[in-house]
Amino acid sequence: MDLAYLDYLATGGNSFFHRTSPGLKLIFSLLLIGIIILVKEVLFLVIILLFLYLIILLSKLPFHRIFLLSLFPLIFTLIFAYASLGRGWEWFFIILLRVLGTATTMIILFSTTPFPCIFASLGKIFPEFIITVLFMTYRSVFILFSVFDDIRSGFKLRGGFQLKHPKRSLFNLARAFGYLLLKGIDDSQRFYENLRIRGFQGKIVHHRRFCTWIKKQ
Amino acid sequence: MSHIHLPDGILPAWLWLAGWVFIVILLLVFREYFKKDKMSSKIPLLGMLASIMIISMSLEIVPILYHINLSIVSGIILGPAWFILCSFVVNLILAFFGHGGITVVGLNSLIITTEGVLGYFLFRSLWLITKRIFLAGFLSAILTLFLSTFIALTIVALGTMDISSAFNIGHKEHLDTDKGLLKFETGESGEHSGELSTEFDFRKFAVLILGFGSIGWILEGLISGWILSYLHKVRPRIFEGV
Repeated sequence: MDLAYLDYLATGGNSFFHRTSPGLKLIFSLLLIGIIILVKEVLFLVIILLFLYLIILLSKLPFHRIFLLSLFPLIFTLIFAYASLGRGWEWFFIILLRVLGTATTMIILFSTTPFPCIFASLGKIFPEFIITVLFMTYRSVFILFSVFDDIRSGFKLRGGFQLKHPKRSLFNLARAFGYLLLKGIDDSQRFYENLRIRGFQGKIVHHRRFCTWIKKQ
Repeated sequence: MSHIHLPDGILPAWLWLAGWVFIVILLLVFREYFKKDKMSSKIPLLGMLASIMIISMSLEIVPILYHINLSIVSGIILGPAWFILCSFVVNLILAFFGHGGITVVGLNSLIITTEGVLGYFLFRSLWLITKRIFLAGFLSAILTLFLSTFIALTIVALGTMDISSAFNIGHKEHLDTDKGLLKFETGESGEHSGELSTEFDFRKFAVLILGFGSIGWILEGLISGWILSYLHKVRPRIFEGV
């Protein structure tokens, strides 16, 4: 889970792509995904991918880390790509390149644009309650992720996942998730109380000025 | 594994658009319900549960290409209506990282919503019948995942069908007799307009999905059962509304 890392890259960077307006980047990314969907040529998909890698380098993002992140969705697509082998190896590579292309596009978007700015831009399309929930989920991921790190350490101390003892390992994993859920439920109540004290009226107002990159003096 | 880990551009447009239309209709139907409760503690709870689902879905069990969903547990805690919004938000955020395409967010949300809603009602009924929380959680998770995997497979099977040929739209025999000023031709007349075709080995795909999935259902069933019994032991108040 590299949400925190992407957020760090998005808020810490100051390249041209970081400075571009979030709305423009969102439109650019969606257009690029549209092209990736329509393209049926391996070569053209490779060119798009190389273009994306160029953006990564120009945006001074850690190429190795971004590349590894973009590989994650491939794991689940392998079954589908394998079943499509009847259509030839070209189609197999088209599927894989499409996954790589769309994943890389989205990772570039999120590693150059802070999440709240993207959600604020999405507010023009989606209703208010969805944007509020997106903000809440985004914040919750950060709260729970630190808890999850501790739980993971605890799980490892209890022996982690051992193939010799699958039942015990699964039981410990369930306990770990159970504790995470409990912590999440408790924190949500505290979070709600804090929001009410601060005058929460059912929506989170986001100022667009926070999304404008201010050149360091 | 129950939701579709397909990239954009694989399923035909009519199918993923239908997914978006259905989920938007569902959200619109419950819009007033969400608005009425917008000041309640449900929204922060939804955020927390959505983030737990995102965390669990990001941890893949590589050998069986599976990840835990926790959709049934979240559905039980949140209740069916709020879970619709939760599943949409989870799928939207996951799609931002390429975990399932942006276009299939609607379809994936519908599948995960089915899991949460069905899981909620099954758990409630089984808990009443068996009086054993682990067994109710385990069985409801397994049955729900079994059904949702079949829904996912049905969607992929629908993707292999060409709806335009089913309705004889844009086919050569019609175009030949058409002597009007305007003649409509598809770019790939004679070919399937959708991406999935008969060359896609659906049987192989279904066997793999059901094979790996069945191991995953048992794992998820056990984990869900233990989580629910743990929560019931330490915080029985959570189950008051169930």
